[in-house]
Amino acid sequence: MMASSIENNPDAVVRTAQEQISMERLMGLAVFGEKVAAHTYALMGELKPEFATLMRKFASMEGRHGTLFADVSQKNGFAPDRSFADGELGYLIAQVDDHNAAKDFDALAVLQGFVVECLAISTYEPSVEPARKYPGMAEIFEQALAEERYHVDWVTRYLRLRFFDREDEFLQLVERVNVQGVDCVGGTLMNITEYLTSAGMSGADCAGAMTHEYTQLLERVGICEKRATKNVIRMFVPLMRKYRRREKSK
Amino acid sequence: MRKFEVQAWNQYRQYAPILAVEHKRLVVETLTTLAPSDHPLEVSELADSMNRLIVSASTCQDSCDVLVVQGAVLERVREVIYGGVGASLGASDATRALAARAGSVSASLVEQAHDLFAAWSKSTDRPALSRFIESSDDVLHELDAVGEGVERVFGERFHLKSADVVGDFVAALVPSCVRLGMDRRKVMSHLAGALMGI
Repeated sequence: MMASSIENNPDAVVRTAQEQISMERLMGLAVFGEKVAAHTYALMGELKPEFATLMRKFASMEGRHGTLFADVSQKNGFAPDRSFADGELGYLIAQVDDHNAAKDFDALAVLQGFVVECLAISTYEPSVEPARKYPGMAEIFEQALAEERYHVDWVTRYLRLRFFDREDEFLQLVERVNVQGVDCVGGTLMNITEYLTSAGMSGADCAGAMTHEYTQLLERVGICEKRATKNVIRMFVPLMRKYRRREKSK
Repeated sequence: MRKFEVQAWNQYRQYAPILAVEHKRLVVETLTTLAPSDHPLEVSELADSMNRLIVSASTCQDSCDVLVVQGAVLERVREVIYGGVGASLGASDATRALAARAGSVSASLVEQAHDLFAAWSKSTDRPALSRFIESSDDVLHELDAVGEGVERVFGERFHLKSADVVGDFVAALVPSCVRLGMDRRKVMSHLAGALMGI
């Protein structure tokens, strides 16, 4: 596969096997993760018709991200690893389905709009520079990053208004969703740390970025900094501990 | 806690005498009276992790190292643990009173160390974050293991959970670092790396 990819792309730099595997797994997560995000926003539009138009727009944007990631992967000789992505995303999909079955729009907003988007932002942002060596890829990451921030902006405003002056209730929702949500998504982040390193990024930086982003989101909804930081760190400590001990997170 | 506090006291006396305050000496003296021997620690599940933490903190080579390692990091850890014990119904009145007193001393030293580090930062071209990372890396790598040990040994009696201890510690440390001009995201990355063992 590598030889034919290079034949088709004469500008391709010769890569190590580790780099090839890492990029295919990371891009697999990006491609198929975006499609899960599209599905989640579509479900949210069905749960709350007053937001249907906007959620369809978000779903369309996420779907386009997946397509763009798939196209640029192919152009650069990467075959997004579907099997790996399915293994990581299965747990997330199950949670989306559970929240949807319970008609719980707010839980989906936290899961998709906070937890999943935080993972995306914390990995896409540091990906931009290393991706410049693959033609067209950095621009896709930049576009996806800007649009994820746009989604998060709306979700933050929605939750802030929804839970105005009811921070305790909001934290209860967050903790309910996070019991499985962060365990799943944070676990994925731990599982891909080695691949991130092979792709020229720092797993610790991504983990730090995710905790930082998530803390900021909680603050924007009205939780004080100290409470938000403690809440987020408490969730991540078990996952980071498993990584430290090289135990599988999921 | 005695072993922990004795190391801090000795390092303050050697490298940062301004932090070797009388209240701290009294805490050390009280703990030494109550626990004059290392034996109970050495035969407990906490021994390995605690010893590794002590060794990691023993590499302080100057006053700035001590300000960061003891003043900014370990005093905060002590403050959080004392706070947990002081609030615990599983502790005796005497233990809670001692924890409150020791916690108050730690809190005061954290503030003093913060101000001293801020003054040091202004006097040098070296960014505060860079020095903070260099000085604190070793001890931060050992912290979570100690937290786990504390939970295993004391968790049931004093209702101490390691994730809560780490959460409270980070929640207090990060704003303090930001006030010193450090980028919050970079501080969080440094802490994440330490917790992940990277």
